[in-house]
Amino acid sequence: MSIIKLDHITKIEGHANLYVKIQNDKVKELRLEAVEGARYFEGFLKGRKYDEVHHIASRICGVCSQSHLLCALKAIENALGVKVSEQTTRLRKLILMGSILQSHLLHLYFLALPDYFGFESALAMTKSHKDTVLRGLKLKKLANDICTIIGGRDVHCITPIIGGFSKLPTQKALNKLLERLKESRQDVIKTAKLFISFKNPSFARKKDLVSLKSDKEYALWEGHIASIDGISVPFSEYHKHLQEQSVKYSSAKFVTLNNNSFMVGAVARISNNKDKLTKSARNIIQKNKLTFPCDSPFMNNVAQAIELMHLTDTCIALLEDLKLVTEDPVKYNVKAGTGIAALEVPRGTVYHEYELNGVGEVVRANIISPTTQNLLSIEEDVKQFLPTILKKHKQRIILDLEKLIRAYDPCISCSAHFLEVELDYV
Amino acid sequence: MKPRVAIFDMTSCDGCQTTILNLEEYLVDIANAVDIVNFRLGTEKVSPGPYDISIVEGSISRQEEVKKIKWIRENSKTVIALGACATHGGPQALSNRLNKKDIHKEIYGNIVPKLNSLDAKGIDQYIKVDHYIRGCPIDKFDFLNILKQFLIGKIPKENTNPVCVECRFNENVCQFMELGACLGPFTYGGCGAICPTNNLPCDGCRGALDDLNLEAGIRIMKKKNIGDDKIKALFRKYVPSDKRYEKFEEMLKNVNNKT
Repeated sequence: MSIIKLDHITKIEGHANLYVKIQNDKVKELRLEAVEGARYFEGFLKGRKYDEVHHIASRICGVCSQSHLLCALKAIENALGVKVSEQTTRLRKLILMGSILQSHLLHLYFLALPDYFGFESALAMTKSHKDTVLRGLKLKKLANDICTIIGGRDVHCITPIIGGFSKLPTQKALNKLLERLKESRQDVIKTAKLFISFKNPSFARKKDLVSLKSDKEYALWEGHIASIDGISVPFSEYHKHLQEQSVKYSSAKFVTLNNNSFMVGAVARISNNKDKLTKSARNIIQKNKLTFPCDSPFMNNVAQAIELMHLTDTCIALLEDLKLVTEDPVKYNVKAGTGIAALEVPRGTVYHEYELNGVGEVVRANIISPTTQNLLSIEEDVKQFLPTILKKHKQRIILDLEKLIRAYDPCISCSAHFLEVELDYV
Repeated sequence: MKPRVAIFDMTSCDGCQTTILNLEEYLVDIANAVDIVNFRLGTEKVSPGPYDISIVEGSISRQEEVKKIKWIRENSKTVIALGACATHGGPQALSNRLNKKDIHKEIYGNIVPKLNSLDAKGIDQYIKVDHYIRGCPIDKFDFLNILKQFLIGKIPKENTNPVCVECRFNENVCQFMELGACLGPFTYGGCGAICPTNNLPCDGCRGALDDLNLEAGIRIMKKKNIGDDKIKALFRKYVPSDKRYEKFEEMLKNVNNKT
């Protein structure tokens, strides 16, 4: 019996292993195991007060911390019946988009790019691909600065609080941000060109693609749950359609949609909402003759690059006519209630639900992060992809499998409640 | 030869490593000054020890991590704890007080995976730590400063000022005097008093100072009409397992008895 083991798949966020058992050129057994220490957020959020939940929930993941912070905040505000101002919503949307830019850029330039160029890391590429690396760093700094200027910090934002903000940015800082965003457009276009130019394996597997959808805009901040196979339900009914399943080998739960595997993330969002993208992003799709909906997980990198364009231009539009007014957070009364919120975040849809008692303590918390929704789909993709590459050298197989898994941009810290690849030849 | 620096992670949110990657304008310089030989979030390269400096993010929360942290210590000249999870166990230490069986059942239902989980603790509960980079998350310039000092052969001195010092420099209104519900006076500085500067009280993520008069602090909080529950919640957020807060319940009782 011989074993191939991918222990600690690198360049993903969090820890995971893939175990594969192969017999007579056939995949006998396959398991995607999350191996990160369980942290029990839903457990210890119970008993915490309404006004500290979002800052603690932010700590679920440091790579997309703003996602959990904003989703928790929105859920608590829904529970308390707090309606925030138009300006607050606009500034929070900017933080959300800044956060998606941060995460996409980290994934594309730091985690995916070295794979395509055959380097171990982005930093190892500074000599041979200096311009590309510096471009990635510059774009990422801008994304960080959106979060820092509005949210107070680039990881785990501070200023968003129930009803509004503890501190508002200055108009001057926002103006400067707008200027830099406009300047960054050319770099974003170059990024999209670069990622479209890479050759990917031709692998595709039919699956449902799920995201939020809205009549008003490219759904990130609000919308209903929609899929290319025709699902259309309010986000508040997520629990009726998404089933969380525990498996023996993983501290992350697997999520199914009406008992099937599905994919969330940039590919799913563009597949469901491409007519709502900015003109610049739609141009990239048309000029390069890209098709969405799309069943290739490898297209997730391209989809993220297209989203960079959409997000940059949307941030520009949000900032362009923003005349900041000084306002305090809206007043509210603490009361019992249940609040649900869903947001589109870097890796897909995130759901937070909190039930509060009369003094504003959390009595029940439920959090479904995007990666848990993708785990089953990753597992099924690997099952179908592996037989097509089995004739290759062991090292090559591992590399291809890692590439496939990384394309999903899995974030195991948020799904952990735990990735390494193990190939076992029988 | 360039010093060999390894970055490891245990159980965490990866936010402190992300903060290092957010040092965009310095990353190329850092890569020129040191040989980064292990950084799961940033590179595929995994090199065997020994390492000159090992930077460890995350709490020890699994049996396997106990073995790993001991191995890291044996193979490193200097070990640095990175962020609240590594220095104190982090927010997940909040679950140390919970009944794990109940929680497992509630979160995983009838199929509970084999977790090998332990109470979340800081790495210094298992090994000797040479330096602490504090915070949830760390402050990136604090990290840069400490790394620079190690590189020129200096042993960095811990900033033992409370958060209040930087808070004053920033000319903030004192939240402790105004509201009482601020952990600035109790907490290691070095963060630039970032929370009070953003009009929110300090929530103590950098851990309790050594020479702390906790009981006096609690007394002032009580005078400001802050309830026991709120005081408990304040001290038990990002570093709930801080040793200096161990006698906290006792002190709270003392203060309540005296008043």
